[in-house]
Formats: sequence, C-alpha cells, structure tokens
Amino acid sequence: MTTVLRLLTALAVLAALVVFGAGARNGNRVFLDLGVTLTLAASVLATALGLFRRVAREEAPQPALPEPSTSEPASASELAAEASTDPESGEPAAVGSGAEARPLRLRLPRLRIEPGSLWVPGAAGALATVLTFLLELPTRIPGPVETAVGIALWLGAAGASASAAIYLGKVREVPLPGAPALASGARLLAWLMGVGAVAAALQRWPEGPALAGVHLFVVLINLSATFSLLAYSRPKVAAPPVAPELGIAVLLGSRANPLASLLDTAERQLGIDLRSTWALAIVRRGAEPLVLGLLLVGWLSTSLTVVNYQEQALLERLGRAIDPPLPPGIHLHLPWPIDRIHRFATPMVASVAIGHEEEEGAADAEEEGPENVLWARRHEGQEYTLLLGDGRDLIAIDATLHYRIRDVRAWQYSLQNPVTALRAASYRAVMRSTVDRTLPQALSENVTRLTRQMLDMVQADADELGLGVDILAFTVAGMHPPVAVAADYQAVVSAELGRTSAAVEARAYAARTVPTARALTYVSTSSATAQAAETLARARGEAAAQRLIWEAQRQAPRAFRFRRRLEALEKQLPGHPYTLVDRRFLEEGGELWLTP
Amino acid sequence: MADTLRAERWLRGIVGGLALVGIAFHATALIVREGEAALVMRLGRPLRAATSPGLHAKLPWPIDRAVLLDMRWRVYEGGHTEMLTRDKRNIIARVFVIWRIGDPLAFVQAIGNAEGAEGKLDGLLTNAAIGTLGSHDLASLVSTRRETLEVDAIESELLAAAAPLALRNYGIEVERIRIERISLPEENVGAVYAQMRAERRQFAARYQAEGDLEASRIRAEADLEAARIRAEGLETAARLRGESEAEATRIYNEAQRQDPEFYRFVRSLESIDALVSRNTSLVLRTDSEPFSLLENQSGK
Repeated sequence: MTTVLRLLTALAVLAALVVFGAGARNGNRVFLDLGVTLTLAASVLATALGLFRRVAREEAPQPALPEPSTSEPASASELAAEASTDPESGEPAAVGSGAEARPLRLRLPRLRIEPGSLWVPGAAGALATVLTFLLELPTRIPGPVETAVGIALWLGAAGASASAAIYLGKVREVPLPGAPALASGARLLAWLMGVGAVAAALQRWPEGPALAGVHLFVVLINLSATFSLLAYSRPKVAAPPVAPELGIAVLLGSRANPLASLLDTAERQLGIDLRSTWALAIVRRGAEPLVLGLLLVGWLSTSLTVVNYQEQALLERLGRAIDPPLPPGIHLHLPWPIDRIHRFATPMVASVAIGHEEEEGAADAEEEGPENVLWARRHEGQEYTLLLGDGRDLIAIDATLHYRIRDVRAWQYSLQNPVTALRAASYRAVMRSTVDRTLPQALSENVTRLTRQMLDMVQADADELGLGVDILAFTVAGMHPPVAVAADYQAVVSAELGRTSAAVEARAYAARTVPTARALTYVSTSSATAQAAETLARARGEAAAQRLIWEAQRQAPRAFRFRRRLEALEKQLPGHPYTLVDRRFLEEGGELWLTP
Repeated sequence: MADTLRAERWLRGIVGGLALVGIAFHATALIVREGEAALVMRLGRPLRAATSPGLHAKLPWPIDRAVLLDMRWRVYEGGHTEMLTRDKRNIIARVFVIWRIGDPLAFVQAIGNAEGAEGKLDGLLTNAAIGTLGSHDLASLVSTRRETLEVDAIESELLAAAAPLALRNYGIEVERIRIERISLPEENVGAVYAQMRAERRQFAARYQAEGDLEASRIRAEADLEAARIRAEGLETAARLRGESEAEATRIYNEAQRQDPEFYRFVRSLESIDALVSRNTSLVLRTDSEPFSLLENQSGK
C-alpha cells in the first residue's frame, strides 16, 4: 500500500511538472490549471502517504524493552501486553511476538489529519489558480502530430487515473483508511485528464470561446478543491480518514459516472432519489437518441447552402469543380465531405493599393474624412519610388487598382494567390509606364491616358494568367517627386508664378506712371494754354482800349491829358501825405529837407 | 417501450454505421481537388502521383501516406536586391516570378512546401538578377529613348537563367520572371535628392531672374515714357506761353506804333496807379496841375 501511494504521488508530481511545462510552452491556461490540480492531488497523496506510514508503524509489533535491575523482570507476555495496551481504552492491542499466538486485531489509527496541516497546499493551490488568470503567455499553435501525441498522453493519464480509482475503490477501509476519498479524487482526476485531452485539441484555436470555457471549468474545480483544503476540519466520524474528503471529489467522483455521482450526492443531501423522477427518466431515455439525432441532422444540414446576394459559390464534389457556379439563393447538394462550398464575393469591387498602404494608427487616421495626399507631407511609412528614364530622377506613385471577379472558377484554380499576381502586375505596369519618361514628362502627362495605359497592361497580364477578373479602374492618387524634394519642386512653381507676378506688378506700375505723366503734362499744357490765352486777351484788350481812347481823345488831346492827370492825382492823393514844393525853390536853388 | 428501444437501436446503428463508414472513408479515400495533386507513398516509397481531380483510393495510414500538393501557379515577389549594372550604376531591382510544381516527387524530396520553395527561388532569382542585370547598362532598363530599352529581353534572360535550375534541382516550373520595380539604393537617394533639389533651385532662380528682368524692363519703359510725355508737355507749355507773349508783344507794339506819345502817357498813368502806395512819398511842384492855382497870376 505504501508503495502504491508512493507511486501515485510520484506519478502525480511528474505529471504536474510535464503539464506545467506543456502549458508554459504552448500558452495553454487549461494545462496550467490541470497542473495545479495534479499538484493538489500530489499533496493530498503525500499527506495520505505520510499518515499511512505512521499508521503502519503504529500497527507493527513493538519489541519488548528490558526491565531495570531494581525490579523483577516481567514476563515477555506481560511486557508485550503492556506495550500494546491502548493507554486510552486500556484494551489490549495487537499482540506481536510472544509466547501465545493471539489473533491479530488491527487497531484504528489514533492519528488524524490536523486541520492546519492542509493550509499550505490549499493556499498554494489558490495562489496558483489566480496566477493562471493573470499570467500573459505567448500562445503557440502546435502541429497536428504534436496535438495527437498530446491528446494520447492526456488520455493515457486519464486511463491511469481511472485505473488508480478502480484500484482504490476496491481497497477496503481497513488496510487504507481514506481509500474511498482517494478513489473519488482519482475518478475526478480521470475526468479532468479527459478534459486535458479536449484542451489539447482546442489548442489549435487558442482564442476561441471553447478553450476559455474549459479553462473556467477547471478553475472552478481547483478553487473548490483549494477551498475544501483550506476549510478542512476534523470530520465528525469515529474513524477519521487518512485522506481528506474534498467536496468536489465527492460531488463528481464518488462514482465512475459524474452524473451518477451528482445524483448520489443529491440523494444523500436531499434525501430524494432523482433517478426515480419522471422527468429525469424521460431525459435519460431521450438524451442519447436526441444527441445522435442532432448529429445526424447536423451532418445532413451541410447539404443546404445559402449563397448571399453579394456572393457566388463554387461547388466541389469529391474535389471536382461542378459548373456552373451557384448563384445567390438556396441550394441543395450532397453533404460534407462529399460536396464542399467555396464562396466568392463576385459582384463586389475589390481594391489593391499600389505604392501606398494606409497604416493603422497613423496620424491621418485620427482625422476624419479621406486621407490627404500632399506632396510635401509624408503620407505613408515608406515611399514607393521609381527610377525614371533619365536614370537620375525619382518619382513617387500612389495608385489603386479596382477589379471584380468575373469567373470564379478561373479565380480559384488558376493561381494560388491571385491578389498577389494582380498587385505584382500593377507594379510592373507602373514601372513600364515611367521607365521611358523624365520627371517633367511624367508630371505633365495626361493622367487619364496614363492610367488607361496601365489598366490595359494589367488587364492583359490578368488575361494571360487566366485570373478571370475584370480590371475596372486604375486610379492614380498621387504621382509626384519624392517628399524630400517636393518642396523644391513646389518652389519652381512658385518661382514661375513669381515671374509672372513681377511682370504683372511692373505693368501695373507702368499703368500708373504713364497716365500720371500724361495727366501732369495735360495740366501743364492746359495751364500754359490758359496763360497764353490770358496774355493774348489782355494784350488785345488793352490794345483795343488804347485805340478806342486814342481815337476819342484826338478831338481834344490836351483836355484829355489834363483830365487824366488830375484824375490820377485825385485818385492817389486823398488820405495820402504829400509835399508840395514851390517851383521857385527848385528853380532858384536851395535845399529841401523832408522828414518822415 | 419495445418499439422505442428498437427505434433507439436503429438510430444507434445508423449513426454508428455512418461513423464507421466515415472513418473508413477518411482512412482509404483520397480526395484530390482541382489544382491539386497527391503524391502517394507506400511505407515511405513513392508509389504514384494522382493529378486528376476527384476520388482516389489508397490504403490506410501508416501503409499509404498521401502528400497533397497545390499544383496551381503561384506568384512570388522577391525582395529588393541591390546590384551594379554594366556601366557601374547602383540600382535596386525587384522581380516577381510565376511558378508551380513541375515535378511533384522532386519537389517533395527537395523542398516539401511552398514556403521552402520560395526560399529557394529567392536565392535563384537574386543570383539570376545580379548576373543578368549586371550584363546590361542602365539605359537598357530606364531610358527616355525607347529604342534602347530591353526590359523584355532582360526578363527572357532571367527566365533562361533561373528556370532550368529550378526544375532540375527543385522540381519547380518557372513560367515567367518579371521586373517589378527599379529604384535607387537608400545610400544614393540622398545624393539624387540633392541633385534634384539643385536642378529645381536652378530653375527657380532662373524664373525669378526672368521675372525681375521683365519687371525692370517694363518699369524702365514706363519711366521713359512718362519722362517723354512730361518733356513734351513742358515743351508745349513753353511754346504756348512764348507764342502768346510774342503775339501780345506784337499787339502792344502795333498799338504803340499808332501814337507812341499817347501810348507812353496812358501807360505811365497806369504805372503810377500800380506803383504808388501808402508808403510812397510824393513831392509835387507848385507849377504842376492843379497846384499851379496856388501861385498868383503873375506867377509869383
């Protein structure tokens, strides 16, 4: 029995190590959970082993001890009887070697599992279970062979656990106290090893909900077991077991069938035999045919295919394509795997980016609306540049090819990667359209004609490869100098505009200056003309007046002169101081002093 | 109850039978899809290649093992390779190849899968590209003179260099090799950009100078025209003034010629009117009119 327990403990430890390693390698959390389960099982087995060994030592016959010299030597039988007397009950225990052979009567062990002794595995198990949630492990999808080997190992472990359960289930309570609890635990472990096989198969879909569901299921079982270990108290039975009775093990592992185990537990707890209820009986009878029927219907349902309005479907019967392709609607055919359906979004227009691929999380992605393609602003991670015909200049091109699948059979069977073929053909068309041009020629090229030329090239290549596509458009979003020199190209345009602007400004200056000069000249000539007219008019007027006066005064010239002289004096002298000097003063001589 | 049990047994039988048929079918049937071929090996020895689509039979594993191969054409885009042309020009070229499995047995023995095949093809392509493009000038690949372009011929040379090796060594049939891109290495791009910038700046400077020249010419012509117009105006104004002065002088002279004495008298009176002001000191004689009345009749 000790050997069996040792072997089981060692197997549990080894299995735990292997399972932990596999879980860490593949990033499979279910494996890690099952590793925790196996570790808990190993700790329970180790506890049971330790207790059992102590029990076995206690039950072994003890050699007689020599009496001290001061007392009379007791008889061997007396010594043996004394040594084997239960100090509590006073009853004689098993008799070992002695004068009389007495029937061996095994005594139940006095040792019990102290409640605190299971806290360590319980706490460690709880912590490990929490860690399986928190650890970030890189997932790895194993190959088919590795998966098959893993499944086989898990099933082998399940078989070993089941064998241990069968063995422990047949061991009686007396040689191994606690055998029923160990058997329950082994049965539960066998089922969990089967779950491990399922998890190994589901590893090929690491992000799927099925694996997450299995992970949650195993975690719940682990938590229940660790809770039982942490909360384990002295049982209320007279014969305390060696192995702890975990609630989850009793619930699911008391019988080979977990469902039967559940019903047994329910009957023990509730006192009701649910098996005898009418509803459960119906469910039990109908479950199997229901599942089988569902499987059959599920398989037959693969004979129906609904092709959406945006699709066409290609039917393959045992590998041969059946013409014509299936149009939108519902179709009946042979079930899988005889008939297989391949769907194609034929009416939809697909696109292939040439030279420019939008990056996720790029700065432009934060702005709403279409992406800006500006010459001088970098709009992709790495520019797609081509060498031009002068062998010196580079040009950056961003384009998009739009196509639609015309023949799904050709699209499916002509090439393995038709989209790659279209992309390569598009890049080639772009290259062929620029190798014989200089940069100014390429930039000033008629874009419509250029894209038409590229489209025709790609269509020709696609037809040659038998892709079965119609190239609908080849749009050039941008064809420009590399971003690093785009500013200089833009500066040339600015300079050209500046040249025109300078001439325009100069003409504006001329348009201002010449008319201004003309205006000033007009003013001066007009002024001169007016002045000349004034001068002439004055001269003519004065001359005419003088002539008229002359003609008038001819009749009495002396009187005219006398009158005019007096008029002049009359006009000037009033209010004007003057000096009157006697003429004799001037004629006869003398000095005249005038003071102001 | 008996009927129900019988029905259950029938159902179990049907499903079980189907399952057995399915297992047997899966073990012994080989479905070859269109575009595929299956290489059947019996205990490790190649037995046959099933190339026609449909259902084929084989013995169960591990006696017979089938390796399914995708026989369709496949496009592989090689990486960017830097190379030197015959005229010592550094370029980067990218080629793509259209290939498929030509010899299934050789392919499986030499490589086994498409990824491995493309790894081998990459080496072949690189080798062929360096060798072929290295024997041509850059003008064969890019040139503004179309007659010097030899892209098609170069591609044919690439195919001739790589295809036989691919088929012989790897069982790969190469249908065509195409040049997808020709550009310049990153290390040279900086110098190219500098050259492009210098060219562009040259153009920009020229345009700017042309603009300045034109503007200066237009301004100078405008200034000249304005000066000419102003000069003409000054001339005209002076001429007009001169003509009017001359005419006025003639008129005055004519008027004066008529009676010079009278003209002098009238003109003098006009001058006195204009010249005498409040500040002028007047000294008159008693023998001038009308002050002569202040003298007695005898003149004393």
